[in-house]
Amino acid sequence: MMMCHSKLLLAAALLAPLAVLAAPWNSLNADQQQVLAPLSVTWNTLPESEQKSFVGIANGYPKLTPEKQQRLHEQLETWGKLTTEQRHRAREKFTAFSKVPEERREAVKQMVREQQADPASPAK
Amino acid sequence: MSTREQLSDFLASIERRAYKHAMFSVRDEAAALDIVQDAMLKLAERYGDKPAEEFPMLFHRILQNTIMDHFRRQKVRTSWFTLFSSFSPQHADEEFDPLDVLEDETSPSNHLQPDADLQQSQILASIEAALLRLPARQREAFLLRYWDGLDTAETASAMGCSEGSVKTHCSRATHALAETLKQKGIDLSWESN
Amino acid sequence: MGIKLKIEDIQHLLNRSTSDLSTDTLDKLQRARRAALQHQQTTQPTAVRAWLSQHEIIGHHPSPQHRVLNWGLAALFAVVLVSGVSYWQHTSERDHSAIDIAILTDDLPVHMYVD
Repeated sequence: MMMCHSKLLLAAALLAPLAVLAAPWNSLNADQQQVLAPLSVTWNTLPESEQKSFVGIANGYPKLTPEKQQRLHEQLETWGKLTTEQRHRAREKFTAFSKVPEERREAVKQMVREQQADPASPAK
Repeated sequence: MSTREQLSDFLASIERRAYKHAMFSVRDEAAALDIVQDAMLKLAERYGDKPAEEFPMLFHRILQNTIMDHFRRQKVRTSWFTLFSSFSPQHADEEFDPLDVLEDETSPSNHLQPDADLQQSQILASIEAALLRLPARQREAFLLRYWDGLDTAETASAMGCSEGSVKTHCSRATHALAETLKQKGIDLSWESN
Repeated sequence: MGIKLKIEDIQHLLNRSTSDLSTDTLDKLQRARRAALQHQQTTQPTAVRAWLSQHEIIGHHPSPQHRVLNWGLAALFAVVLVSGVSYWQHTSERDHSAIDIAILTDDLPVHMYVD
């Protein structure tokens, strides 16, 4: 019986190789836990590299302006619900978009703002 | 039938259509070939063991993403088309899609090869020209539904949007095509569903 | 001209147009297909199943514990053999917190960047 259980544990541990190195939720300090609260439930399933990024976000949070903190707080839950692959692609898209000239970027943002203000209107 | 045979059959059945899909978007033979090659490889590598019924939807999704990647990698690309092609907001109800706004800027290239039946060739040329004039997302939706024969759910999955968006895109595409073709003396009719 | 077309006709014409492609193009497409098939993903490699049944880990009537262990070890081998490379890629990835913060505090909503 014991051998069976230890085999199971070994299998489970090796099954999720990334989780072996992962930090459990309890290893985060109170400030970090507060920022990352929307992720508390799924934290232990996140790969180690992803956890590192999120911890980095929590550490950077105090240095942000109140408006940015608010924005981050609003969006973190959405961000946390994405798959690792989706986050990866989102980073690629964001990087690509940031290379676009200022006026174009601003025009896209304006279009989005208008659309969010009045979703029913047809696109021009 | 083994999965290898199923995948082989599927790829054989779709390789030409995939090439044409890519050509409609990128207008460059070499790039289109690369894209199709890439998409086939990704399907085989990532989803080669999936049930064969899922291949069409999966492949088209990969194909569209690969086409997007192509545009992103292009160096001198500041046109609205490329910019907006990176973004497709997931709105539950109305389907604002920035891509919808844009018509293709480049002039249509002629895919046509000499054909014995001249009138058919001419009609085909008109259809292809009309398709090229459509905004990218409308064309995608139209081709996936009415050429590849994917249903609404599969098309939505392939395009990464809602089924409502798919219906809107198709409806707009069909109307736009009808309008363009009317000017060439071709009367396009369809059943609205 | 007064030509009448139905949507099915468009499908028919587009299908026909695929036979207009040059032999060079068709050739390249065929080669691409063959190359892709070489890399086809298959679920559990057969050698693994053989090893597992030899060591009586998978059999005909596994107990509940055995069944969990079966799937555990099967998945273990599948993960190791099939995804070994991507595992190392993941762990060697940089810390993305700077760009993540930029995305999360940006004017554009996060979903704009999601496929």
